[in-house]
Parts: sequence; C-alpha cells; structure tokens
Amino acid sequence: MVKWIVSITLFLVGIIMYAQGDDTFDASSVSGVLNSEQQAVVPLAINLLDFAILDVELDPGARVDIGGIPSFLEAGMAISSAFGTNGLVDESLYLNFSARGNGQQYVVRAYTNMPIPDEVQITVMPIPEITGNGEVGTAVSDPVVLGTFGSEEVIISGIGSGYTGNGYTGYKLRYEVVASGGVSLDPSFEIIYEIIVQ
Amino acid sequence: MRNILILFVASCFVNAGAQVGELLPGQLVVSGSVSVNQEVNDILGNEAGLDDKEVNADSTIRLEYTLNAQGGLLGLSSTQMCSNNIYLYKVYLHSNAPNDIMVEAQTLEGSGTAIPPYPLGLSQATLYPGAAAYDASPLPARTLTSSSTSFVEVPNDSQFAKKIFEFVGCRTQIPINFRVTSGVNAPNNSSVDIYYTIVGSLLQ
Repeated sequence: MVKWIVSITLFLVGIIMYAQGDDTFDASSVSGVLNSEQQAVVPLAINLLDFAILDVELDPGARVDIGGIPSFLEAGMAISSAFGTNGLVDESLYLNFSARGNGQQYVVRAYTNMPIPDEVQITVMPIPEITGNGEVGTAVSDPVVLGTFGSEEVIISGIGSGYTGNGYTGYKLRYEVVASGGVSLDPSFEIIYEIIVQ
Repeated sequence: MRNILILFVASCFVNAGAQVGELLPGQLVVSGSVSVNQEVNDILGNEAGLDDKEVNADSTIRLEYTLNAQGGLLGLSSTQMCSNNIYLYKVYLHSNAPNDIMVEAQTLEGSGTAIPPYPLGLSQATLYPGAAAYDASPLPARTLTSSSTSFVEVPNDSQFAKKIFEFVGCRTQIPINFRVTSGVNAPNNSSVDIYYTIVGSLLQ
C-alpha cells in the first residue's frame, strides 16, 4: 500500500515539472535574495483613443439594385404593379462597426444625399446578426422611412465599446422600396450611414 | 562500510548546494521607459467590425546585468568579475495587464554589449584574461539568443513568466521592444507593470 502512494506522488511531480518547462518560470515568489534570481519592474503607459468606425459590406462596391422592368410587366399596366403590394425587398448588405466608448455612447444614423421623389418610399431596418462582442447597441424595432432631405434617422442606438464582426455579419440592412409611379432615382442617389457620439 | 556510503551521499548534497552558491551576486538594471500612444492612423488601418488591433510601443528600455565589484585586498572591478565568472542568464517577462490588453515583447538576436567586450587583440586579452580564455573555449559563445524572431506574448500570470531571451556572460544595453494589442473594452489611459525576472545558472 505504501509503495503505491510513493509511486503516484512521483508521477504527479513529474507532470508538474514537465508542464513548467524552460520557456516559462514561476516568478511569483522571486525574493531577490538569491544570487541566481532578481526581478525589476518598469511601468508601461498605454494611451488609447476613443473611436468609432463603420462600413457597409460588401466593401468596396456596396450597391443595391431594386426595380427595373420586370419580365412579367404587361404593356398597358401601371409600372407600379412591378412592385406588388408590399414593395421590393433587398437584404444583401450588412452594416459593420467597431467602437471604443469608455463610458460614452454612439448611434448609427442614416440619411440620403438628395431628396427622394414623393412617389417613392424607401425604408431601412437593421436586423442584428452579431458575431462580434461588446455593447453593439439596439436597432429600431420598426422600419425607418428615409426621405426627408437633410434629416438623419437614428437606426441603432446605445453603442458602447464593441464590434459587430466583419463581412456578412453585424446588422443586416433590410431595404423596402415602394414606388407608386414610373419614377426612377437619380443614378448618383446614395444612402449614407454614420456613427457618431450619442 | 555503511557509514562511508552515508557520508558519500551527504557529500553529494553539499556539493550540489555549493554549485548554486557559486553564482556571484550581480545587479539587474532595467532603465528607460515604454509607452503606447494610439494615433488616428492606427485606427484608420482597422477594419470596421473587428476588435481593435496591435500598436507598436515607443520603447527606450535597456536591460543590463553585471556582477558586483569585489572589495577587500584583491579589489576586483565589476568588469574584472565579469571577465572571470561567466554564467548563463535567462530573462523572463510577465505583466499585470488586464485581459483586454495583450503585451508582446521582442529582443533582437545578438543585441546588447558583452561585458567585458570580446577581446580583439592581445592587449584586451591581457586586460581580460578570464573572458579571453572563455571565448577560446568550446562553451556557448558570450552572446544573446532570442526566444523568437518575432514578438512573444508576455503573460499576465506571474506563475508563467515567459522567457524572452537568454545570454551568456555579463551584458548591457539590451534593447527590448514592445507591442500592445488592446481590445475595444480597454480603458483610454492605463499603466501596466512589466516584470523582468533574470535567472542565472552555471554553464554545463
């Protein structure tokens, strides 16, 4: 019985010695008294910036094409019928952002670079598909109507220090477009997203 | 006979203890400062959606280890002590950084200055006969060996301090570079203590 206990003890000691190895050292109890061990301490000062950056994936070339002339459109029918009752939907783009807040919070706002014609309605709705970490905020619960020129609409709020994940992750952007007439948007029409201090 | 055997075993233990005790006292000095100052250009290189990334530190850190001068009638200087007593020194680093901050360190192979300097001619060999004799021996050269050609993570656990480099003989002016990776949750301004532990041993 005694023989077994001795054997097990030696085995455990062997494992501990192997785990420590030559590349690491237990420096928690260096006394400095021994000639073979000494320790010094020097501080490392770290000064970091608060920041918030954002992009829309697919980046570069984030673009949505909605509308056009569908093949089922009959001559003599209203062009608006191509959009159906609920309009056309696109969910191909994703919003990614990273932020360091240190107590302050950020919001994501959306606005257009030109007025939207009265016959066209565009809504955007961020849908969270987060693969990142931290305080990535809360999206609006209902689609936000874009269009009042010069008006920035908050679509995500309460962003602290966090990141959404990069690529087809983060906040999926659900666009819904309804057009009641044969009006097209200017080719240079853009929806602009920005992340700013709340 | 049994008594003789016991005495022999006891003698082995005494010798082993004496070998550790043969290491002469020296002085570890870490001078300079190190700081990380994140700039706008560092941020602009980031990809939106990802965690913050690494920033190179501004480091003027210089580490040195020399043996103490010996007083008394013989009166040997620190350099003379370093000439006559050449040991292996391993330098381990750890920090008290929070989990959102990862510190990495690097030292270039062969960096620093050997003390005494390598004998280049007869005059220096005369000045430092101990070092000259050592340099002519088959033992490891009096140089610095880095653990890696790239940055090595400095753990924030004192029980597992990481070896960054080792060197043979006294050495001064060893530069250490740092890099810091800070998560978005890291505070703006903070101070992290870097612990430098040197462990000496006899050369085999």
